Amino acid sequence: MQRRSAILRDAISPEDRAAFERLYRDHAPAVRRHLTYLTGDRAISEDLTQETFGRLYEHARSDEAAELRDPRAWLLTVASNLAYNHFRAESRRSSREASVGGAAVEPTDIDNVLDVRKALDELNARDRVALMLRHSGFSYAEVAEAVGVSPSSVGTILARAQRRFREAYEGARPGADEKE
Amino acid sequence: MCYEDGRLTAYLDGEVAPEERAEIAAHAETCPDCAANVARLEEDRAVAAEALVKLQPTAEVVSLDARRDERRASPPARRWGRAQIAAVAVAALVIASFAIAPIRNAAANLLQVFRVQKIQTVSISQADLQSIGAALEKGGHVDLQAFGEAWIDGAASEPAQVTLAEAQAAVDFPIKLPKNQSGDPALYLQKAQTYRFKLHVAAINDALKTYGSDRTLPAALDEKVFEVSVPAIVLARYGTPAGGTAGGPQGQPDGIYVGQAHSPELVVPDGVDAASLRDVLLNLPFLPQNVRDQLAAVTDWQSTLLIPNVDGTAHDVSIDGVKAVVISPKSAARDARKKATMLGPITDTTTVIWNDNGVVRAVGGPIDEGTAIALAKSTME
Repeated sequence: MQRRSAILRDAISPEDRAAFERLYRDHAPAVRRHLTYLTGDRAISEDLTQETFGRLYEHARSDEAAELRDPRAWLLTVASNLAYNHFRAESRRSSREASVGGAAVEPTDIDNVLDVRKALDELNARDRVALMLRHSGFSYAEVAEAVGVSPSSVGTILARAQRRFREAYEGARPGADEKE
Repeated sequence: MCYEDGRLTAYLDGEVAPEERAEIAAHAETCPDCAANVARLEEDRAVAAEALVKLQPTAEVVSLDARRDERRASPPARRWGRAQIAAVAVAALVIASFAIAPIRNAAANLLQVFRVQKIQTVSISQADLQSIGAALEKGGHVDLQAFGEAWIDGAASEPAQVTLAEAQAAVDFPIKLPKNQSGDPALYLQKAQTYRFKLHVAAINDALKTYGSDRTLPAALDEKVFEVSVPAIVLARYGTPAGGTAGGPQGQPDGIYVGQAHSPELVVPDGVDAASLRDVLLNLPFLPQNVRDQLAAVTDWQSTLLIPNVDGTAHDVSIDGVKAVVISPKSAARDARKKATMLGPITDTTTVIWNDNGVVRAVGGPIDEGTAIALAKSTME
C-alpha cells in the first residue's frame, strides 16, 4: 500500500502537485469547518477532510476528470456525502442511544448546542444531513447529490426532517419555545 | 388539487419553477388546508433554522477586521504587559516549533502535513547548552541569516479585543475558560497567520561539515518553501477590568491568561523527506548524547510537540488522566533560557499546556505550580 502510493506520487507532475497543494491550502479550512458542523466531532471531521482531498486526488487522476469549475462546491458536496456515509455506518454500528451524548457530541459552552445535536440524533442519517446542508446554504440540487436522491424528493425529505427535528428539539426543551 | 408537504417546502425554499410558484401561491389563496400547511411548514423550517445556526461557525475571521479597526482608537490590545506578550510568544513559539502528525491516507501521500497530537518534555541541562554553545563557537563565525529566510504573508497582525461571541464565531472548537475566576476576562483574537521559510542548503551543509557532521541536507531541499500555518488563537486575560476600559494596567501585576488554538500545521514541501531531515538533526555532532538519545526515543516524533526542559523548568504531569506539561522558569535557569532561546524577558510565569482533541490549550500567570494545575483542571472541566 505504502509502495503503491509512493509510485502514484512519483507519477504526478510537479505542476499537478503544486495545484493540489494550492487547493488544499485554499479549501481545507472550509471543508474542515463544514465537516465539524455536520459531525460535531473534530477527530472525525479531520479524518473526513483528509478523505475528501483523497477523493479530489482520485477524481483528478481519473480519465473522466472534467475541469472543476468550482472546487469548493465540489469538495463540500463530497465532504457532505462522506459525512452521510459516516452517519449510516455509525447507525449500523451503534444504537441511537449510544450516540446521544456520546462521542458524536462535543462539549461546548454555547447554550443549547447539545440540545440541537441531540435533536439531530433523533433523525435518520439522510434526513439529518439533508437538513444540515440545506440550513448551511446548499441548494436542493446540491443536497440531492450529497445524499444520493433525486432533486425532486429533497422537498419531501426536508419537510419530514424539519417536522421531526422540531418535535425532538421542542420536546427536549419544554417551555423553551415561545410559540405553543 | 392540493400540494404535498414536499412541494410546499420546495416552494418556501424558492426551489420551484416560476410557473409552479405562481400556481401554488394562487392555490393557497383559496385553499385553507394548503395555507395552513404552508404556515406549519414555515414554522418547522424557522425552528430548525434558528436552532441549526447555533452549530455553525459562520462568521469569517475576516469580518472581525472592521471591528478591529474601530477599536484602534482606544486600543486595549496595546496595554498588554511585556510579560504577557513574552508568555504568549513563548507559547506560540513552543507550539509552532515542532508541530507534527502525519495524516493517514491519500492526501498525506501527496502532502506531508504534520500536527500536534502529543506534548512531552526533553530534558536539557545548562551544561548541555554550554557544550553546544562551545561547539558552535569552535566552528567559527555562525551567521544564521545565511542559512535561510523566513517571512509572513501579508502584514503581521496584532491581537484584537473581541467579545466571547466573536471569539467563538472565529474558531470551530469550543472555547473553554476556567471556572471560579472573579470577573470576566478580556478576550483577544489573534488571526490565523502563515509563516513560510526556506533554507539555503549549501550554506547549511558547509556549516554541518565544519562541525564534523557526516550527514548533509539533500540538495533538493534548496529554496524549497516550508509552511507553518498558525491558526487563530483566542487569548483570555483576567485581572483587568472587563473591556480593559478603566485604569492603566501597566503598573499592576500581570494576571492569569488562558490561550487556545488548533494545532499549528507544518507543511513540508514537495520532494522533501521529513525522516531524512530528522536524521540530519539527530546526527548533529555537537548534540549531547543524552539529548540525542531522548530525541531518538520519541517514536511519535511526527506528532509530538517537544518542550525543552532546562534544568527542571518543565515537566510532564497528568491532570485527571490528561497528559500536560508544566513550564515554570526558575530563576537559576532563567538566564540560561534567555540566552539559549532568545525569547526575551521572561518573568516567573508558570504555564500549563496540553492537547485537547487537536486543540492546544495553555493557562498561566504569575502563580505557583499548584495554582496553575488547579486552573488547568478547572479549564478542562
